[in-house]
Amino acid sequence: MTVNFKVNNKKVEIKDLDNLSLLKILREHLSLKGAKCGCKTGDCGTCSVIIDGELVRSCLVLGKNLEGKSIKTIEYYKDEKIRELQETFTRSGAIQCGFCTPGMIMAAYSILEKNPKPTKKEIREGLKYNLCRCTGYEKIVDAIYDASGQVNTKKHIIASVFKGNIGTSKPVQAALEKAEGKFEYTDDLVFNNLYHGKILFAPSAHGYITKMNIEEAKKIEGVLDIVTCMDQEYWSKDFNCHITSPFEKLVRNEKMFNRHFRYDGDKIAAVVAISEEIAQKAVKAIEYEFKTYPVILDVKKAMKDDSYPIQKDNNIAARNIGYEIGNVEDAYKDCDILFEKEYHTQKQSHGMMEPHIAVANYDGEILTLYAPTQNVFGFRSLMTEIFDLPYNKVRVIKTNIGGAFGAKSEVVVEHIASLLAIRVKGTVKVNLSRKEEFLCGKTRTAIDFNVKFGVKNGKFKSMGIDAVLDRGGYYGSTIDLCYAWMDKVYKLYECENIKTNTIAIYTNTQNSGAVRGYGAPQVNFARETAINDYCRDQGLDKIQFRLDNLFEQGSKDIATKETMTSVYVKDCLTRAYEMIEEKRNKWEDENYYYGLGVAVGVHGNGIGLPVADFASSSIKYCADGSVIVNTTVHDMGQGSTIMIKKIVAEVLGIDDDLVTVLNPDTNSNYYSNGAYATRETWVNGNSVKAAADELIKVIINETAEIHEKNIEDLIYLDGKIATKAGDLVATAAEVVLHRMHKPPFKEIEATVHFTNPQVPGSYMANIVISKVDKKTGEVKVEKLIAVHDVGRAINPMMLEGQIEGGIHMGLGFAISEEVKYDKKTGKLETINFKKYKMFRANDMPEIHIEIVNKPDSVGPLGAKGVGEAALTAVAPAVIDSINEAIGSNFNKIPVLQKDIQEFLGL
Amino acid sequence: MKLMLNMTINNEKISVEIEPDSRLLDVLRDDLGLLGTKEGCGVGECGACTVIIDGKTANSCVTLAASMEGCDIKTIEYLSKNGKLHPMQKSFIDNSALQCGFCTPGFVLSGVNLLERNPNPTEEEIKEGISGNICRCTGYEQIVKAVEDVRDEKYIKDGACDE
Repeated sequence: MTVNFKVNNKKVEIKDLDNLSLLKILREHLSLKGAKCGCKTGDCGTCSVIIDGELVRSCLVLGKNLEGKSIKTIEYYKDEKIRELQETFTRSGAIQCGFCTPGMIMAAYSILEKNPKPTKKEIREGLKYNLCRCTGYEKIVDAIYDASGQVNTKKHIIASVFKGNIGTSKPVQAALEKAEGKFEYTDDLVFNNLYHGKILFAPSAHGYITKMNIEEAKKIEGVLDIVTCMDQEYWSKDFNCHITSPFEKLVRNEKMFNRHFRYDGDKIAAVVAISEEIAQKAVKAIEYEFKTYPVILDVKKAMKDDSYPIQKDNNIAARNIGYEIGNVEDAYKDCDILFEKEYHTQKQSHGMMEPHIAVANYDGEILTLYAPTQNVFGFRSLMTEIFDLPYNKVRVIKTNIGGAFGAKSEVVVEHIASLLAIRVKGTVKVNLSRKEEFLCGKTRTAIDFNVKFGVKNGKFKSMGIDAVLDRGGYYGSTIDLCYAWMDKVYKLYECENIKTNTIAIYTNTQNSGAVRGYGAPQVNFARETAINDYCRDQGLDKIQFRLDNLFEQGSKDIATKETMTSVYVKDCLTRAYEMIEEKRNKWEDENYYYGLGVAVGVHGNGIGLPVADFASSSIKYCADGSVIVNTTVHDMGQGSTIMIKKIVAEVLGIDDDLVTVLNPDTNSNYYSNGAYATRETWVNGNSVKAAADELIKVIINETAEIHEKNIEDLIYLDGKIATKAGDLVATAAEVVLHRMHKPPFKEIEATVHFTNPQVPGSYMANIVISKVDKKTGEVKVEKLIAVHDVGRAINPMMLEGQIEGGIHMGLGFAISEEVKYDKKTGKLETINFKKYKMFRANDMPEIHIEIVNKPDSVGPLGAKGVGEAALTAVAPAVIDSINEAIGSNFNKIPVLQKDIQEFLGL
Repeated sequence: MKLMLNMTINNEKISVEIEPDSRLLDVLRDDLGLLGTKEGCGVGECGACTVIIDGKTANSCVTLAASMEGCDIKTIEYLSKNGKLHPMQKSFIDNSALQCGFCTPGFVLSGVNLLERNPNPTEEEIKEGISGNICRCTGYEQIVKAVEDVRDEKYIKDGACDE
């Protein structure tokens, strides 16, 4: 069968369609890779194209139905409207990771075709089939509004501007390429002689494989190899997916393939074949038998002594992790009022638009892993451990990332791709479907808290927070997460006596891992909701109570006794309250109950105690005055590359276009702990700042030597070296050229290994207004005010973008994203975006963002990180607004419509 | 218009749809993914694209693919098909007969083909036998030595291409 149609005005003839989707035809047969595959079920919109004027999701369209149709894709650069949208998206900061961007632009195109002057509400309505996990849709709506020629009067955050690099806005690296659909993600890369790996997942949530037969599967033509949980090989040893260095003594209790499977995302076998279809066919042909064990989804059940052991002895992964400052129990006796209540947070999926993918090559000597990872060195460590290879024989190269949010900091498929590549001595790709991503991707740790505090004369006197962590089946990053949540308890409210305690429990649920915030959103929900509950109980003003107790400039971290380098959380809260017009906690009209919710919060910068964070950077001046920076930042759309460029450009006084930052590659880059823990701005930013300062010293020294001047008489300014009297001596480029091509023939470079035990906190206040429908119980978050204390803004537009994206994730965490299980079988039910509900463009509230704009004393040029702080205080503010509106006392998230209906008796 | 071409490549029967004016080199590299065969000049002068057609070496860059109907073709990938190196490949490695490696697949095939036709060539005959291939790195000394070592049966045949 032959089908004739047009793509971007070119005639196309396709034969033997074999039920191919249009997306596959575009990507694989026509090499038009702008349309992305985010789910294959029509839920995410990353594959959107226009067919005969209508917006469609190309993964749902069969090629055989295309006869005579005319298709427009993101690559149709001849269309002026598409080009204009590409430009406004780039200019407006509407692009972060860029994976959803081509689909978004096609949706925008369709909106404007039908309605050239849409309102923002109409734009949001038109975008509801397209998901974005990075931006919170704000800047996407702005970009489309801009392209419609209407004047946008929206206010943006005001930042102090340095010479031009710091405080001025710039889109993320390669924004235009992302808008044009030319930015190549891992699935867009071309590899020769590429094989494909597919994974067989566990049949239920808890059990043991008794028999497995791969003979039939092996006979399928095109199958190269099959590895299973029955194999006893050097690589089937226990490991820990979170290991980032061999020095980490973390418990290792998972295998690549687990015969004793502990959740339904556990892998039990993998096939490598010449095509993805054949590999999938072989996966289905693997025969096995298994026995089931009791399924335990609930931590309380799992903790019981007679509970079935998920790991070896019992279900306790860790206990008694915590520390006490002062004497909490004694201090309770001295308090006027005691408050105690339990709070529960639930798992959350990353929901990044690009599922996990990895391509590994093994040439008989060196294993090369191409992966969209947040941690090239961590992955290298783990591969060397699993495959008994030395560090110099494993190379990990970061490919372009389509969103990560922590998902891509722990291995999920990368070790499988590597194993299959080693087995066939070739190149193997493993690409997860969305369902597989939900199954075996990590989740935010669900934590049950018990919050107790005592107040004397209106001030905190004593506070104790106990936590029970739901780990899922394996140890992973248990200990790191314990310290991550506890750390946040000691740096927000003044209180002499504080203790924390954690117990971590194994269950048969999706394995917990790093998700944006990493413990902070959970504990912040518990503590802030407790304070709101306390204030409501006691009839106190929740703003004033906070102002009486919050940290301020000069406050000391209660655990470490170190003075915090900058704390303006009171300013955040005061300003947020000023910005809101409705200065009352609750009101109602005929149809809705309204409530005003408040929360503040703190997040760290960099890996916390007991190890001070560190990073190395080297900057080399080229002979034309441009510079190459060797530091390892993993840009995933959050803008870390442009952040580094701006800092270096600022210090050296050159244009940021003259700065190039290396892409993470373990063979060439300086070691890095990875892109998590809000560490890139503070740690890497500081490290390149120090290297740039050092480079100036080096170049002054060299100039002094060449021109026979005293070092003390010379100054460096904007790429030139002059005498203090103001006479130009040489340009930096001249000095470099002189040193490189005349004796002593040396490069002009500087290297700095940075560390600092003094770690700032990033603070914020959120105020939310929500309305609850009296008839349906539906919640609509109407307005959200976010004021952040993140030091000096380096790139205001992308800072806003981070906060907006964080708000999106925080809103889902509060009221829409539910990870749901079948209670009997323990199988995950939320395996697509239909069931796992992330906020869409038309669900988002009106957002107002400001920053305090005061520099931090140890931040690079005064900056602090924002990536995780962005969502830390969102959920408690939202839940408070609901509790105020309807008089409820919700103490668990997410609060869903059905919970509200139940409360209101609807 | 496209043609259907049937041929045997590395002992496997293959049917492939080709353009009438395709070169054998393009079909091998682009359609079949056999990237061992290199293009060095495109005009049959350097031998980097050498393959063995029906027992004789040929430059695949000047061979019209359409003329290969029913032919038996062997490429460098054939020699290590079972995961083991052919003696000629081992000998090239041991004698440092390869530097950049771009000409190597062509030289190896020329060497193998020479010994198939003449199991006991003299040094002169070896030089004559590889004269269709150009190498810019080695000066040919080690390449000749590598072929001599295989001629002298310094390597036990391990059956990689015995089929």
